[in-house]
Amino acid sequence: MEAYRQPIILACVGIYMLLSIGVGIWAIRRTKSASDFFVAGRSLGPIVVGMAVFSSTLSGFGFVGGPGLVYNTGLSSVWMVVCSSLGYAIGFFLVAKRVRMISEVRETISLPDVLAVRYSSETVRLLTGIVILIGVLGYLATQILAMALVLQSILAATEMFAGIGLITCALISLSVLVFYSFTGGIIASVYTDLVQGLVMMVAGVMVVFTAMTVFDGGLAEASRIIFADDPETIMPFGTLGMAASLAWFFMFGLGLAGQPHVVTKFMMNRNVSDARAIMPISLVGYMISAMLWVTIGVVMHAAVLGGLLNPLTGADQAAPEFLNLFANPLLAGIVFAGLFCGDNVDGGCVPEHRRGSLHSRYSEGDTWTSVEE
Amino acid sequence: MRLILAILGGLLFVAAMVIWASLTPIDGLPTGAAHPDIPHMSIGGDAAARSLPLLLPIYFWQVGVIVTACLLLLLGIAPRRRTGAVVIGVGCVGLVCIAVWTGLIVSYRDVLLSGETPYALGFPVTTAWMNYGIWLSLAGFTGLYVWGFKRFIHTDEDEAAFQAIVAANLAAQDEADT
Repeated sequence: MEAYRQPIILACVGIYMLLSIGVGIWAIRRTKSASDFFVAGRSLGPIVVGMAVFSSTLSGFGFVGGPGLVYNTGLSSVWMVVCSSLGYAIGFFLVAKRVRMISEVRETISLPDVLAVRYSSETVRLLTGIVILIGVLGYLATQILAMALVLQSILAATEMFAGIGLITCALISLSVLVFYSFTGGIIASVYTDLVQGLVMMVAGVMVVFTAMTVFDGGLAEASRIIFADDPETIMPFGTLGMAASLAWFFMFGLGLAGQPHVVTKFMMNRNVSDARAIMPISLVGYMISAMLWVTIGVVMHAAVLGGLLNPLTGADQAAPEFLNLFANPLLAGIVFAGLFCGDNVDGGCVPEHRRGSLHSRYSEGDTWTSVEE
Repeated sequence: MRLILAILGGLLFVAAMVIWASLTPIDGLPTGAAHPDIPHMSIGGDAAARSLPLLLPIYFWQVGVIVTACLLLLLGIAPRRRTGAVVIGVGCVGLVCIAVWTGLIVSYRDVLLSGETPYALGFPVTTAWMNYGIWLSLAGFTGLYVWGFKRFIHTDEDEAAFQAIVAANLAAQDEADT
């Protein structure tokens, strides 16, 4: 199987890209109104929503950027992850039920809609839209960069595409992403999120077991190697120190509840009471998947310090290199494919911006009632 | 209204701790430096020099964040359902979180003073407190949400009232259409 590593990985990614396009086409048939397009007609079950919430929270950044940050700065960035329990709690206690109820009663389909209804103000809607637009631009860019980096890492290992550029990879990834999210709307997005969530959970568990076999002494051996080089790197606050780590905890722990791609998903469940199941599903999925963030970063850091590997050309190469070098080809292929779901690039953020233009596409004859009415 | 003021107080307390930490003089590398031999890697340097003076303000900073978070969670519960039992439930989970945070800081201080560490579950003990303890203690709030959903988040009475609003809304829409 090792001899066919690259073809297997390429096949997994290719199949996944085709699957995404297929989901987009399938979703077109299910999308008959603006409500379908933006909030899936509020018809999704708790498992689908729960998986979509966590996979869009963790996202491609968690797969590529997370291990890269651990490689670069030790465990500082893990505070972004361990605060997720608090972030979900605040999101569900404060926001989920209320947003779902407003969504049904006032036919809202986005976060600006909800706030406009709450404060009876079009200015609030405009300001919220502007804030989201500014806020997500950088975030979207990192997601697209993550996809492009992974694609480049896969293709560069083949003879035919050895010299492929990052921009080309970004364009290929974006083409698939734009196709299925624009045609299929949020239905396509959440079902690809569902698949991505499953992939991330399986990958999280398998990667941990793989990582434990890299060193004879398992993760403890990797920790000892790092401790011997620079103790702070493997201490809880990493190389960035206590204040920076806790600033991340504060920002993500209290801020997760306000992320537009998460709040939008709170509107999609069939019943208000589904929130009771969605929250633990999201949290458990997140916890299992995020093990990948810590273990890959620690093992790759120790592998370079211990002389198993040459220094990486960039910190973000930690995850792709780990998968290429240590993971079973099929596992690597599945994880790489999971990254091409597009996660929150296609998720809740995009509808906030395209709501105006696409509303007209579906408004004729549907039951969408604008907030102003 | 008093809860909102308490949350504001919590945030101001956190801000005060941040200022205290910022004004505390430290030696060493406050936010690390590039690794001397390996590109794209950094080091923290002398841990004791940069971290020991900050332990106290940082400890209270996080205690303030946990307390504020508990107050925010209570804010999400309708005032008429914020009973003593609910407050005790949220408070107990909050106390567990503070206990875990205390364990982390105490074990970190031990490493800073001794320069050595025992290992647990693949990591230095203080790191294991973070990787496993912080996460799982905060997950107690999820348990509270699931357990209390029908009791104080969304009761049967709430569901009936909501369905009545939806029905009235639909009836009004039908009337407008006809």
